[in-house]
Amino acid sequence: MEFLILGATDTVPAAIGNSLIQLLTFLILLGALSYFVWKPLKKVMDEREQLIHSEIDDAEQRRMEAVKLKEENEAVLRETQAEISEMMDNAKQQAKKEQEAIIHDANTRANQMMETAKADIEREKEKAIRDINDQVADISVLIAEKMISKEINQKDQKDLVARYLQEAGGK
Amino acid sequence: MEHGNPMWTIDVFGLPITFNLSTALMIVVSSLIVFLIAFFMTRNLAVKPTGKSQVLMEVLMNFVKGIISGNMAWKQGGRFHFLALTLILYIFVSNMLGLPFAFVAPNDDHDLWWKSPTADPSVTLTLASLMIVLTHYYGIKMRGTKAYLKSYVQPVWFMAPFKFIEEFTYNLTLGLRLYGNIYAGEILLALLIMVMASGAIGFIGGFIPMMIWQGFSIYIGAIQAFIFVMLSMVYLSHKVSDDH
Repeated sequence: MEFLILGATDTVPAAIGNSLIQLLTFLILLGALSYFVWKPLKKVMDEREQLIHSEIDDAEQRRMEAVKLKEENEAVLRETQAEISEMMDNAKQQAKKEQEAIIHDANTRANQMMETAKADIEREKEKAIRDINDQVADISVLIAEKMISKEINQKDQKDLVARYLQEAGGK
Repeated sequence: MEHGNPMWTIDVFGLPITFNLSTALMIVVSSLIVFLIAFFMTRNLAVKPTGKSQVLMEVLMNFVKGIISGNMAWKQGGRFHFLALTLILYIFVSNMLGLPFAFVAPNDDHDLWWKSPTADPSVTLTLASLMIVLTHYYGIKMRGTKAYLKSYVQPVWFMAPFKFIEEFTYNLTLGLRLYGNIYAGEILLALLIMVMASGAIGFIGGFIPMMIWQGFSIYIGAIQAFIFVMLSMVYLSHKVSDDH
């Protein structure tokens, strides 16, 4: 091979020998590296790729679930808020009604009480007037007795005075 | 600077087969280094990586995956992933081995024992041949013999001789590009060492170029490993993909 390639000091048999050694060694190296190094390394890298893929899928799924849950929650929240406001309205109306009823009741009772009080007052007044009339009659009798110093029948006197008084009241 | 090579010949059924012992040694050494590095960097594998080593290996895996998927669909190219990974690591480590030092035996021939295995054309041509043979194998396996043969007469029938020769030139260029780059790098390193060993002035004058050239050689080694794998995948995709 010396004639062919500059600097090569090999002869053709030596080139064959070197080639054989190189070929054999390289094939052994290829087998050994493939078995001990490349295969495990590739396996790990593939595993990682799969892991990343599955993690991405997982994350996507979780995101979708989260969106669904959020929508559900919002719906529940809206429903609850509607219910609450409805309950508030009901309560307000109820309270108003009760308020009106109480006020009405109180008014009625107050009116009643005033009526009663007026009637009482009227009755007392009449009674008082009657008493006064009686007393005035008695006093008038006494006065008349003293003034005329003449004894008359008390009963006749009374009737007389009552008649006068009646006449006076009638005027 | 001429170096000799330690040779060892055996007869296999009357055929003399000679082994270049230093190349054989370096092939085994770089294979062992590649295996041990890759092996110890991928212990304690976890889905959630704890150390830097796993991350580094995964970066390499994704890098090679990018090379392959730049040329063909991953559905077709996935099966070449481990091959390309092993190839790029092996070539890279091989290219690096000759850089830090060389070991020359103190005998009359100055036998060179420590060097890059890729500075030997038989090594790089073997790797290139392996890749080219694989392109034909997978071309037939994945597309069928008919489609494989038909690809030689497309787009027109008289392209067939060129296409046929092309297969051999692919092999030669793929192997010799790598060999040439690495071998030339080692020659220049050896020359610089000679300069530095010549005396005090030579040492001072050669030190900076030595450092520059070593740094550049690291770059070349990495680039050549990348190019080798890249072109292998291009050739594979030519044979494997339907649209070519």
